[in-house]
Amino acid sequence: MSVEMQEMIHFHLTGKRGNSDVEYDSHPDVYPAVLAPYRQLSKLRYDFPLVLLDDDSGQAIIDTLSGVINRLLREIAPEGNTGARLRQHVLRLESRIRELVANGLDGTLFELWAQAEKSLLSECKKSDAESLHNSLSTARFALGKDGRLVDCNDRLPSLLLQHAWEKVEARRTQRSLEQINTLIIRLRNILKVDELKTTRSRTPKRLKQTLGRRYKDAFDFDLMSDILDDAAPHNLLPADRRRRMKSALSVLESQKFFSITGDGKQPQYRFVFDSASGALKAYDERLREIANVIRAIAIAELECENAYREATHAVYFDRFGVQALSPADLAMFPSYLICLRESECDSRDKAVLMEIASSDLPMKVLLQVSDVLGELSPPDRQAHHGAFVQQLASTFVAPGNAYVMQSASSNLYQQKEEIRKGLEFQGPAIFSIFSANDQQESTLPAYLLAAAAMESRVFPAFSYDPSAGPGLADRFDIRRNPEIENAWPRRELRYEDEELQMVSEEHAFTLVDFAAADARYGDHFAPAPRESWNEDMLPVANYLDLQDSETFEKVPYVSVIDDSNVLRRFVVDDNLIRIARRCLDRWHVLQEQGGVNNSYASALLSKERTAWEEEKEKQIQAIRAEFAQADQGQLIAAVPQPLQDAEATVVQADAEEEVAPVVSDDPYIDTPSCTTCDECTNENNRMFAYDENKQAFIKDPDAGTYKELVEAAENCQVAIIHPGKPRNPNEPGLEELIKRAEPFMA
Amino acid sequence: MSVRASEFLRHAGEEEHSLDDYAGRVPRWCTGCGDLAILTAVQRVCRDEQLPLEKIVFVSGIGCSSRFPHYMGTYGFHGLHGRALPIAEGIKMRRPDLHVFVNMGDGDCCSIGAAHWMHATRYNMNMTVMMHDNNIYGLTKNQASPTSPKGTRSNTTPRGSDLEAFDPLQATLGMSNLSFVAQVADWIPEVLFKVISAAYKHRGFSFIRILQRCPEFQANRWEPCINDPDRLLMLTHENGVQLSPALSRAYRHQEEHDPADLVDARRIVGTSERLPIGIIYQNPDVPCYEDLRKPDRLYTPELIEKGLSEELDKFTIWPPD
Repeated sequence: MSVEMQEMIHFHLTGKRGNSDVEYDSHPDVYPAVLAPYRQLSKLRYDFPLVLLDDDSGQAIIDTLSGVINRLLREIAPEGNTGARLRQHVLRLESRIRELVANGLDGTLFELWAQAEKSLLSECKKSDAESLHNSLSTARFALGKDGRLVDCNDRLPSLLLQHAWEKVEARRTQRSLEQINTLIIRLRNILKVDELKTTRSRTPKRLKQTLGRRYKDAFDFDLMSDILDDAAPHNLLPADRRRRMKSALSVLESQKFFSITGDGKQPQYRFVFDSASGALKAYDERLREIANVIRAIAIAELECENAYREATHAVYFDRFGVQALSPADLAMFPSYLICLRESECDSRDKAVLMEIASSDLPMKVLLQVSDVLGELSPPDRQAHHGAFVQQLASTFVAPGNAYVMQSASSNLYQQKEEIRKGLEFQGPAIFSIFSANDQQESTLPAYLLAAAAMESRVFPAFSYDPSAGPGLADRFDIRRNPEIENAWPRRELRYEDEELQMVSEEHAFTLVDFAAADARYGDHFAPAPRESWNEDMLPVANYLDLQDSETFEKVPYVSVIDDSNVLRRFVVDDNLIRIARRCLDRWHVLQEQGGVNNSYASALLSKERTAWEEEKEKQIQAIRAEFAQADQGQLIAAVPQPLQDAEATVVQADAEEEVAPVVSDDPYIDTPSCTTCDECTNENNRMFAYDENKQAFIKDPDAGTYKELVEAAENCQVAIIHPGKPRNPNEPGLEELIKRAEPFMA
Repeated sequence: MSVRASEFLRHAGEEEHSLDDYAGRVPRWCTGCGDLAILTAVQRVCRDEQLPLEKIVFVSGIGCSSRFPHYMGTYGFHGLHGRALPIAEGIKMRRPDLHVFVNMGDGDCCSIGAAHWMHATRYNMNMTVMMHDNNIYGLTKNQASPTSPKGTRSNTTPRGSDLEAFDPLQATLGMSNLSFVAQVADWIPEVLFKVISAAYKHRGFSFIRILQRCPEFQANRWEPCINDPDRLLMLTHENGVQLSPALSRAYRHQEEHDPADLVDARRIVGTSERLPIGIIYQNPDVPCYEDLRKPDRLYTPELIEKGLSEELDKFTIWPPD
């Protein structure tokens, strides 16, 4: 073993660099090798900046700048040279907008479009200016909705979530607002009509005001008032009903949950908080008022339909309070948005969050995480801050009734559907989002740092939706992560070797690669000189796959690019390897929850396979044993003979059941066929009557004569009266009547 | 409790309505008039659905059929000859929460009101429309109507009418946006009730042609069909009408017909020698006009005032300073 290799092993095991001839540079600014192609981010077209759309139709909440531009170009850029030039101009503008945003400029799409256009026009040649201006004017005219532009930075999670929450809440509370406004209008109308019936509305002064100044001399208002008094309606609303409606109206007009007038002048509660306990306190304080509003709505609805019943409803409303509120009632009201930074949360805040996650409260929590690794713990400690924040979201899944989403800020556009679902979810929702800030000393820009956190499984994305179904298979989703079947995602690394030949390798992106870009963890790495590279140096992913006994005389390394664009290898110390291993374990648990490499399913499958194989083996053995004993004759005899002279079976259909006609001595009516023509009831309404469906039946056959029965049968439009046989043998003219009744006897 | 408080309370305080609650004035139709059967069937539907009385409105034109609103204990509008449908549409637009029923005669619907009928079918507003077809103008005492068979002798056609009768079913099946059409006979109360019930439950313009007896001026018109059930073809289907065993025995000519099949509906109506009875066509997916025109926001007084002010401000001439 060479001296260099020994040094590397010593460093790996102890984390200390020893004295030797091998010189180690201090940790230079390095880039994970796999991310090298993305260093010049501003030159690339990617998802950022995002556009937070001012679209109230609810169809789209956010879009990417590239998405907006692509759609625009599809719409306006024709085929051919004209279209190509226009596309080129617009794409230049897009790039300039991206630069402006990356440099910290704030504004909407329209504003930054104007700035970028001005900037490009000032730089271009005079001969190109007109063409550029025309292209950009055409595109600007076709640009759809405006919206605020946001880059992938520390402010993104709160800006995006607040924007999405406002849009979702506006749509949801629109229904409640419409309902309340409808009730207010109806109550006002009923009370107004009632007021117009009173004597107050018929005074000469009031009548004059109603008709206006133009006609003030056209009428004798005193006489008019007298005439109207004589013709006045007297059906005024009862006093208690009027009082009840006024009270309900007053509550609905003065509530602070929804803006009735829509002009912003009406005092309203706020629903955005920066403290979980503050939000909880506000919610508890407002519950009584919510109960008042729900009571007022119920009373208003009943009164508007004239369905209020004093005997039934008064007692109920007297006792109605917070306890009587149903989830459907509470769902009418806005939810609460709480924006928190994990670094500013103390243990009490986290306990309140757990309380929220275990409840049905309409709270939407943004938990913004800024540092996913933090200070790494010494080898004898399992926990470190990073491990804690990485698992924070998972702890909120445990109670089972909160919507939970974890993501990196780079992935928020891809997960917009999950964000929308969480905001629309009826109960609590917690969004744990990693967004890099200045605390990291990373060479990676914020977007790549966030993406790297997800790629390296340090902060993987997942969502848990309790409303998606009964089991974990329906609720838990990890599909937003790359290569979910694998331990680590693998990316192609292409570089030139010493002979300037292109080499392509597959590299896994691990936690260690992520840490390598952050100068805070420089002490966990030691650069390995080029000449010391050997086969006992393994990429971290491969090293982690080894059993403990296989790791002797092996060292793990990561590939990085330095600021001279040279590929280098850094040996990793064991502490960081252990942390990477624990990260991998957590990823495996997440995979299992997401239904990938599920150990229960695998065990069951294995068990079933074993049982099936054993069963099949037994069957095979039995068949072998049977044929070993049987002779040829028996075998031939065992073969069934083909069918000969098979007799077709004829199935005789059953004769159709003939229903014998009913011949009754008693008179009867085929009631379901009665057409309510009044013929028979007019003949004799003691003998013939209507049932609850207003169809005739024989109520009392002795309440009239046989003659009346026969005449009713003859007059019946649909011939459904059957007179039967005479009940009184002494009735005159029976012979003729019986003859007349014959057609109606069946 | 998973429902809202007001929903729960509304059902808790409801009173059950009997058939008599839906009755209005005593009917003055002739004894044996088919309108009586129709009245009973409609009252049964209202009773079975427990429709609130104040939420129902009957709209009619002019004719014997159009006395209907007077004999129902609900809201009613007895309109002009042929104009029941535009009135009904206006009611529905302004008060979409009301249950709207329309009663028209054959002259009312197919003659003077034909244009309204055509477009009302196209608008497909949610209402139940009954055409009481007795093949005559009865209220005005015996004039031939569009559906009077050729050769009908009446006061206006003393030598018998010259034209073939107008076929409302064939006409309806050619109209755009059609969503429900049925034909029933007033002397078969079971099917009459079931079809009116299905028409009420259908969301859209439900048109029912009711073959109606007129004992005064068309005493023999439907006699052959009443006395000989073989002249009728009962259309049955799990999505249409299913007959009771007794009725099934009485009416032997039955055909399984899916109401969703428009082509088959046209075939039956166009070629059958027998009178088809049942639901001829039904399409629940045709949108209703009142849904298409529903505004995307509530027109509150504040919104209306704001809109008016904005418009009027465009014409404002500001005085010079």
